[in-house]
Amino acid sequence: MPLGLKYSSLVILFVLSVAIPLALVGIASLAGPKRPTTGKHTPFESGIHPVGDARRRFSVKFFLVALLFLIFDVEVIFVFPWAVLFRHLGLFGFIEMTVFLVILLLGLFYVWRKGALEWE
Amino acid sequence: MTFPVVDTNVLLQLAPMLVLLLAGLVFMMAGAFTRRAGAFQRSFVIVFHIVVLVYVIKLWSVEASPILNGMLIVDRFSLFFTALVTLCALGTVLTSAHYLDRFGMNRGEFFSMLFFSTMGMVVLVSALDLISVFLGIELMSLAIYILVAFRRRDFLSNEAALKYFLIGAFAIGFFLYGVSLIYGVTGSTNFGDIAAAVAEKGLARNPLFLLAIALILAGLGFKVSSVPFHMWTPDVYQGAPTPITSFMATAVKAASFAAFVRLFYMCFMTSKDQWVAIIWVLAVVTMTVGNVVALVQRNIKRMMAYSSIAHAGYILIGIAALSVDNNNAASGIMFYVVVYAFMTLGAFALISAIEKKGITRGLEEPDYSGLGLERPFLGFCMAAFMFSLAGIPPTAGFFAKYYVFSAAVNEGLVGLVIIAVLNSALSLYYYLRVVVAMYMQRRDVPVPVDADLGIRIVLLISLLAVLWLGFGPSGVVPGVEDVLEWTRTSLAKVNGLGM
Repeated sequence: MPLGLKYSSLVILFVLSVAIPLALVGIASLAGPKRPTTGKHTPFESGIHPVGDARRRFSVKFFLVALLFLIFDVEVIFVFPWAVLFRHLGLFGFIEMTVFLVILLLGLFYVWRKGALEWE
Repeated sequence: MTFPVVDTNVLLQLAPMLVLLLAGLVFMMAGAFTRRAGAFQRSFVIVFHIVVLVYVIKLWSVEASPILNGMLIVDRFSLFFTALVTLCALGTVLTSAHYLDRFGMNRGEFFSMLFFSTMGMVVLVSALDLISVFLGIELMSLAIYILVAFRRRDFLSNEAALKYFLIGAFAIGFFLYGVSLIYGVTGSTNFGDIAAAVAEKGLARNPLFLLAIALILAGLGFKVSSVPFHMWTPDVYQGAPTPITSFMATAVKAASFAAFVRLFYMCFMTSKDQWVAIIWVLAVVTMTVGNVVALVQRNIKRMMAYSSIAHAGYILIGIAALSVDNNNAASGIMFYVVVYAFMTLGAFALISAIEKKGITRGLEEPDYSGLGLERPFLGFCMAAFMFSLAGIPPTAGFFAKYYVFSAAVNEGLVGLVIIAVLNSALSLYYYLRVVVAMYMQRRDVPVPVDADLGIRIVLLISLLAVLWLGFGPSGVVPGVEDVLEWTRTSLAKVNGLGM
């Protein structure tokens, strides 16, 4: 298949994903009537009246949890291809993967000792 | 089992990287289990660096070929720069001895990040594939971002790290876009395959290929602080802890220029007539902006930052003079980088001895006035470094400029060299202003200097290097001929491999 044809589906997806929201929002904002009320402009809270504003200080614990999750999740993702080809890669691949996991295990020990796994 | 058993030759070639990795992990754990990194830990840090240098010396005579499926090559070019960045890291460790305690930074993680960054640089200078270059740059940079932020309670340090990280992320994005375009056009990211594809498909004038070169220039230009990608340098250099500033100014620049030279030498030389004008312009604006803005700086760390921008401009002249016929320009660049590393390490060692807390860090002119008269050795060292940075004979700085400029003149870039010489003359003002303040102005109270043993060692070795690498004959101690010989043997392979 010529190169252009192989990637044509990607191009179509890209064009449509830009064009459709643009069209929907654009036509709605251009052709729709403009009658703003307070009720229409408040953020949606499943029918409950919003109390106060959302600008409050977050505890950095949430960020820390997200960061740790990201790192170890990416580590797991790296393990998947190795797991699929486990037999083919043999002992050499096993030792390589063990080294990789040990390095990240040391990272886990570091995080543990530093107290980043404590929620309170 | 279809996979190769472990090849001891490959392991030996990877030894510097592996030792640095092991050291990084060891000190990461040390940082988790100890409260303060005392002299005991610091001595092990120095030992690890010496082990790496021993491996480099051992590998110098090993025959080099692409390893790891063509991702890396540990030839003399990369060994040269491996030794250089390890020496810079060692200098940083020595400079930071009292500094860390003074500013509450004395933890094992400091050395861990230093090792990881050095490892990234070793990967970067050994890279034979654009992905390896990216890996090396990112590993080097992420560790440096943490190091820049190491003064956790200091506002300037945090600001510097944030600026460096955000702008660095953008710049590496440009670099990656260039890499992806090269992959699209040539079908590979390996330097050898790219060079072969350019020769076979005649891509030397291909617009996509040239666009890729420009984007890669943007990414690498950021790393070496070339104008107009230099905006981060003054703030980051000023905010970072001074030993880390010296590490950035010497090792990061050296490693980035190594990748720059190898990439351009191996892949882009056929398109040289297309990009030499760009490098010409980049060199001129980099030198000029660096020198002109340095004239008005009061803070000495900021002045040194702009000076490092100017020196990157001089090195870019070497890049513009790269030639397929001879190694003069590349050899000159390598020599310049070595000399620049010693000058800068020494200058920043002295600056870290006088730095204090506060917004100005005690680094403006009244803060070091009369230093030369009170502490003669320190004053003499700083004067030598300032003269060398300005390029005054018989210091090594003059010879470094001489080799690069003569290579450029031989390539026909006479106008560029004239501008460079004028810029060097211009730079005399702000370098000598420091010397004037040290020797011809006085303070009521003597300058409080904390020049501990580590700083003195760095100052002494840098002073000797700056004075010896110019006129010093090669004998027991390597002189300029030895260093140039090392650069030439390093480049013989690089030039032969790609083209």
